[in-house]
Amino acid sequence: MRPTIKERESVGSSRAAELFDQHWRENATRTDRMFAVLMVVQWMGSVILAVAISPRSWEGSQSHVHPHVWLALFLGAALASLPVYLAWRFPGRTFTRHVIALAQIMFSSLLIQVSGGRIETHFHVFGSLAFLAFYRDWKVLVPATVFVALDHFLRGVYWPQTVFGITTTAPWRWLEHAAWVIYEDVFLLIACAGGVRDMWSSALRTAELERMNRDMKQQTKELEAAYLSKHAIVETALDAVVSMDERGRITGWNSQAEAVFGWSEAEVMGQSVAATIIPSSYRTAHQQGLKRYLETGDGGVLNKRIEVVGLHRDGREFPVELAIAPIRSADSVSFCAFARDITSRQQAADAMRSAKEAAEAASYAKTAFLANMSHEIRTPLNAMLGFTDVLVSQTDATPQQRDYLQTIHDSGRHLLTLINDVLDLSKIESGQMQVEKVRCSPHEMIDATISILRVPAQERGLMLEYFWKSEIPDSIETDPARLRQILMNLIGNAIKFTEVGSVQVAARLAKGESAHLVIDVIDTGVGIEAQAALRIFDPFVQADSSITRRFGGTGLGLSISRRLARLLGGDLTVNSEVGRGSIFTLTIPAGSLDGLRLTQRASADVVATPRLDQRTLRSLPGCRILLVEDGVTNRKLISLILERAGASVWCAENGQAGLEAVAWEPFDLILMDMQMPVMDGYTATRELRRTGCTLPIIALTAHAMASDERKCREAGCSGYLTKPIDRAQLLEAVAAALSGAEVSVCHKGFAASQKRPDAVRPAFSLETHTDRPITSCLPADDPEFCEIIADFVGQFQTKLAELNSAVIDGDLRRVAELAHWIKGAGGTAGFDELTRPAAELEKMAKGGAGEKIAPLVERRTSLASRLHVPIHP
Amino acid sequence: MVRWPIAILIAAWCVCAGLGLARMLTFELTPAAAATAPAKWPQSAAAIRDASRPTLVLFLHPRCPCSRATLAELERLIGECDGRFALRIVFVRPAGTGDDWNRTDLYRAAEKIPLAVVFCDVDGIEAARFGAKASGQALLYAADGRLLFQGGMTASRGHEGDNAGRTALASLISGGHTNCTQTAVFGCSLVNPSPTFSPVVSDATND
Repeated sequence: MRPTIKERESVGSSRAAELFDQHWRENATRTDRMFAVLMVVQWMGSVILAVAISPRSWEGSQSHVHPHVWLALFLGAALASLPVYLAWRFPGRTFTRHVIALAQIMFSSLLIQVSGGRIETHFHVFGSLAFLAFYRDWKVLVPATVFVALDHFLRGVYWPQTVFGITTTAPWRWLEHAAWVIYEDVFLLIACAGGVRDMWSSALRTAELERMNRDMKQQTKELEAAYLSKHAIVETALDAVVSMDERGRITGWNSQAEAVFGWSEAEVMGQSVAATIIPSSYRTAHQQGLKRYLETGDGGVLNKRIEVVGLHRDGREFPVELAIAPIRSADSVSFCAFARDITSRQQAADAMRSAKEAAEAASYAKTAFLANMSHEIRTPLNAMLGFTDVLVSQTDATPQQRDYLQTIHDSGRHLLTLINDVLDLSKIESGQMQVEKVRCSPHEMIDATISILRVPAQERGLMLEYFWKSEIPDSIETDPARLRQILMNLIGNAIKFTEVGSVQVAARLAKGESAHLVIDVIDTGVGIEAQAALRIFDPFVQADSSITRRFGGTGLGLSISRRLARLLGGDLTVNSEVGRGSIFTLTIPAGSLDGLRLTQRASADVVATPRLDQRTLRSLPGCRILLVEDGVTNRKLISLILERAGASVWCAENGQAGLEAVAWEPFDLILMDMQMPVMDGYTATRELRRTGCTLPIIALTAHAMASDERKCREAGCSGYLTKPIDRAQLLEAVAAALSGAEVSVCHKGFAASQKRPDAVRPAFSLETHTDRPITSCLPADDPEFCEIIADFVGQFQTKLAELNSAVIDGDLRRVAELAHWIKGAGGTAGFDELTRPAAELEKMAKGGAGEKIAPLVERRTSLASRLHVPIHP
Repeated sequence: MVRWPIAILIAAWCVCAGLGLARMLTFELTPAAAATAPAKWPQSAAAIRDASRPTLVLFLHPRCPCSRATLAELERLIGECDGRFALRIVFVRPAGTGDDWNRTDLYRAAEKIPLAVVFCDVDGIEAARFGAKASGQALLYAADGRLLFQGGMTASRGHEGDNAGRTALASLISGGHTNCTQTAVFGCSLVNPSPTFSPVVSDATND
């Protein structure tokens, strides 16, 4: 009746099988123990029954204890003994219950006997069998049934009269009595099977319940862990977490909410959000927003960060960063809000804004300071240098005076250099240094620098060599002014720190992933110690403390050079050995080499490059150009250049005249000088734009600062050219402006684009005393240019005399004007050497250093005598 | 390994129980001394024979526990053959016992049997006349005084139920025939093991 292995496996519940076996054993054990008790009771009962019914056996008047009593006592004890023992020691075992079954039926015989054979006692047999069915094991009925059947069989066979009352009987008659037992057995069998099925079902249900309970406990544990986790997250969140139901009542309040809003959880739970933490002025909007969302689902402020105003318990309003998320369930909606007090953040933002404004103001002030200081410091210095030049040039100065003056000049030059370097460094570090990328010839730049420094090298008895170690590119893409500045510093340093030997400048084009220009400046100078080599690129650091005393210098040159090199996209390194010399290697990107001609390397010196003016110059056929320029020489030269290109040129002397000309004549383009009397170019340009003039206006100015260009463009200029004017660049700029392109051509002091083999190289420095003639770089074989040159020289003499007068009169404004004219006209006329001195004089005059200008003016006078006027053919 | 010791224990127990049951069966089926009843009603019998119908004389020891079954069978016999025989129940009071010897539930039960004539046989004289030696001895005499049956009315000691004696008596009383005229008697001895008096009784049947 017990489930088979197959049934267990088919059900697939090993736990149910365990439970079934457990219940089976418990049932068997329980029944064993019940029978054990019954055995004892039956034994005692049989004894009592025997004593009660047949205590004594008689023989006449004599009696003895009835054998029934001894039978009950000893046979009963024997029958009960083993079952009781097995039930105690081996409860639930199969052999235990089989022994019990046998003993129980034997007790039936005993009881029947000692009860005097009462018919009622026979029911003990049926009762015993029914009791044995408690085991739910049909097999225990077998020994009992077999005993009964055997008993009746043997009696029926051997003592039939005891069974049937007659001495003879048919052999099968013993079955009649046993059949009633078997009849009961059938029902007991069915009951046992049903009991086993019930036990199995119960085991299955119990196993299932255990599994469900286990799953439920696990789920509860997981839910509890999840809840605790989320609760911990909410409680430890740095933001206030507030939950609200759809009626606007607070349903959740974490500890940070207590800190932010000042209410405890117990105080706010169930209260209205609007009445608790929303200022009164926003409550209506809150209610309306909530209502709208509930009705339409439109939640404009949901699921995003907004900044609102919160209300503290103490009545204080404070800024809050808020994010609200709706939580929809099957039948309701709630909201979870994350709030953060951003008072400190706003304060920090305000402070940062103020700091930014202050920083911008400071930066602006610094820029202005730099600009002003640049002018304020340079002006007196230039005056000092100029006048010392003048004094030195005086032939009546004594050698001692010349020496003193030279010392003053050297000191001033040193100071000017220092200031220039400091300002440059400051500009670089503040990010105001702008570099441009234009195509320029590296050979020309190196050659120009070599040219400038050749004389000092010769004066020190050094050999200055320059050569290429690879193919020479026609051009590279970089900032020529910055490259020139670096080269001037490196080669100048090499010459300065080399007492004997040579200075070599070796250039090469390094091709790789990207092309780089590598320039090695190799000297046989004093060399640099390894430790010092790490520091020489720091500002104000020289190799050692004796350098300043021995060689001078500010300690800023290399620092500026490296920064400039890095601004250009490259770097500057050094390899040096004390006593043997140094190699400074400058590496800068060369840009794209596509379509470029690479010339095979040649020996030193110049590789002839075509004159820029022999290249295809722009032609401007039919262009009508208005030239607004106060300088006669400039007017003439520029007009000549433009007319040579095919344009028609109208001239105006100042801005006012220019406005009138525009009003009367149609033009294609205006060239506007920015520094003019009566009306300057800025005013005139603004007026033209105000009146709706859309002509391209190219500014002509001697100022080369980026701010000047910006100033011109803000006035309304569409182009920008710096003086002195370069012919080809002028034509290119005009052509570009006429085509609608922006124009910006800026010279940093020297017009390096024009080159004539016979051009006199500019002097290395003004302190070099020489009488050599100063020639113009304009084509001297052109009569019209010759006329301009002669005209300038003539005007220069006149202007110089006016300059002297202005200096004597202390008219610094006039001095500045004249210096400005000399700067622009001189450059335009091709006398580049006049440009910088004139610029310095202009700055000095504007700076108000009147007493220092006079010597400088006299120096210009000496220059005037050296100006060479070509004889036109 | 509890298997072998337990097996031995169980086997020993079975043997003991079997022996016990066998002893019980033996006791149950061991008859008492059979009667030597006279073939004709003794004329000196104190019990009066009914000349119109068979007379059943039953000798009982008033304290014999096994005789309860005999009385129960007697009642069944009366139920089967009611009124067709006369019944005489003789309770033997051994010598040396008092009047209260017969005051037992067996005696009281016998007195309640309808139409039963119950009397006390002091010193067992009547029992001796009829040759009864064991309690439960039943003697059936015909109306003319012939002995028809002698023996017990239980199949075994103290065991009620169908038995050959009752069946034979019922058959004889009903006028039928039976092959069984004598059965074993299962009951206590009516006389002491060493009787103090052994009256010699002349045999009236010899008249």
